[in-house]
Amino acid sequence: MNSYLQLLRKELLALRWSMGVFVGLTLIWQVFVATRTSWTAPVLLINGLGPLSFLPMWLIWISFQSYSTEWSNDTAYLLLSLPVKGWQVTTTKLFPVMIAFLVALAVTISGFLLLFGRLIPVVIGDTFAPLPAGWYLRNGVNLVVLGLLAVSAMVMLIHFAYITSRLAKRFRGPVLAWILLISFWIISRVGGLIEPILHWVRPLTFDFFNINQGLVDVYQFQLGLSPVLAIWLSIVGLFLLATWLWETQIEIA
Amino acid sequence: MIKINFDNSQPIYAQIMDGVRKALVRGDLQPGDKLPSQRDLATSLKVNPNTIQRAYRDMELIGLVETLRGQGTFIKQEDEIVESVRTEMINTMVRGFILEMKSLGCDTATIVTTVAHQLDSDYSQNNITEVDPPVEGKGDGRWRS
Amino acid sequence: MEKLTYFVKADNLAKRFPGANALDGVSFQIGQGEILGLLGPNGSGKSTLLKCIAGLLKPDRGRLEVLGRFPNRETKSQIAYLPEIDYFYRWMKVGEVLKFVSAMYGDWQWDRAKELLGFMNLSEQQGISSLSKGMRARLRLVVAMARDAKLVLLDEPLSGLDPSSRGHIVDVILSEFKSSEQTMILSTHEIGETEALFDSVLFLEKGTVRLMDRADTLREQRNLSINDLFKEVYL
Repeated sequence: MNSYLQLLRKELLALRWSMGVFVGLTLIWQVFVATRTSWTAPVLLINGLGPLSFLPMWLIWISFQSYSTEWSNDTAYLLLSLPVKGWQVTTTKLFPVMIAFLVALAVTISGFLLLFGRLIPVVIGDTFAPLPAGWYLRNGVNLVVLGLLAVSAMVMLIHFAYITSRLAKRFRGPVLAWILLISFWIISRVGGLIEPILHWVRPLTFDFFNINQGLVDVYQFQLGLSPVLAIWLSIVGLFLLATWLWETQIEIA
Repeated sequence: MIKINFDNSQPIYAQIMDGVRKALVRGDLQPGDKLPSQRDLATSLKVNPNTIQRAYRDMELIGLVETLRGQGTFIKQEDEIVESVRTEMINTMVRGFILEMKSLGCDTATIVTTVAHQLDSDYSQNNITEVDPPVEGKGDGRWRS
Repeated sequence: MEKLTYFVKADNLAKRFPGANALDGVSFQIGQGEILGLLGPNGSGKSTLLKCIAGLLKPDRGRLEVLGRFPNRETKSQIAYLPEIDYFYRWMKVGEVLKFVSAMYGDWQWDRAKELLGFMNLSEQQGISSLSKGMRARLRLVVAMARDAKLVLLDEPLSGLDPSSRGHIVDVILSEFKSSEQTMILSTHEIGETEALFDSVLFLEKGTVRLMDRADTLREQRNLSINDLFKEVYL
């Protein structure tokens, strides 16, 4: 237990600089955008959320880095000599990235609302005014859940591709790219196989609205979760395989 | 107490035994004296503890020391032990010397006269009183590089 | 627990890297309580052999038994491995490193760790990135010797260090090694002050065992120090 906490602490602390830079740049960018006087309101709003488009790339980067720096800094000697289970290493490299995702998301959204919140009604009028608070909450939670599924899937795939590519003695870069391609194929195959047994999962309900001759017409959209979960579970399978490979097959050089 | 200037081309356990013998003959150790613990000696001489253990065991086998359970290792409490060790060391040394001389083709008479001559001149001229090289006394466990 | 005859037993061990045979049929055994000197010039396979024993490399061929089994997580928990290079997280402080490592092993001894730290002139407040090469080597030894590990593997613990660090390290190896419970393999390519540490020596050359015997037996038979024998073997 103590060993897990120490590993987790190490990964969180290792991320702090990268986190600081991302969050700092996001806020600087938002302040920069907010002080543009000549930009129109819609342009300001779109640019205020701009840093979010870099979020997936940044998450992929830090996931990859969490492994590659172990080798470039020789700390793999320490990490691989520890008598810890594979999942202790892989999950302590997974969770901090999820936390980084949530923190970066929260900071960007908060900064956006703080700096540009007053512009929202200007741009979209009073459309949202009659909508109940529950509408925002439900859709927001749904989006965050989907975001977490997507980000965790992405990070787990990076883990799988990186660890597997380390088994190659040379050409690790091309091997990594090839493994990513292969894993998309595996995921689609395995996902297709297990999708039918996930039909019992309740769909995710999003609320939408439509303005029809001045009247707000609220309707719902249901997203079937079984394909999403099937893909996610196949990626979890690859992640577990990577975990096993880490503990039994990975070498120092 | 036990000072050894190691010659790494000889077995180390044997040099440790010799070190104890010399200390005894010189009077640095007395019959009945306690030897340092194996760990302490290993640390001060910078020698593997197993080597010290082997030296102690062999000294016990030849009757030089005895180990009392829970108390440590002691030089045997026998008055004649110093004399017998001295005799043994002298005999070994002289035997080696004679063998060397013979291998150079010297006969008994030459050996005796050469030794007598050297003793005369060396003692009168250089006042040699110690056979050991002067570094011997340092014995801080450092190795010659 | 059953009594182990051999702490490490290698049988025809081979390991290949792209372009080179690091180990090419190595067989040897080491029993309890011994300090084995793993000797050979750079590139003779010493590090590779230690990494295989530590479980950081998988042999391509041959049998390897460490503490009675093929190296795995179980054996790692009983091995203290000191690599040749600095393997600490540079952003950590000395105290954080000790906390990190101590959490991983059941045999960590805090009082000994603190004592060794003091002896090595290190303090918990120092940052790893601010330590000199010699100080980091000392810290690696503290981490390896603060445990009651059954098997201690030291890869070139003295290589490239200042005389004072070397002296400190030899002192700690001698004062902390428990021959009744531990076994040690120490690799080096320059013998010097480690000469008298070894019970046995194993000369490696190009990934094969050139010679292995008890150190005192070799001195007795050849009238040579291990250091001189080393020069003779590799010239």
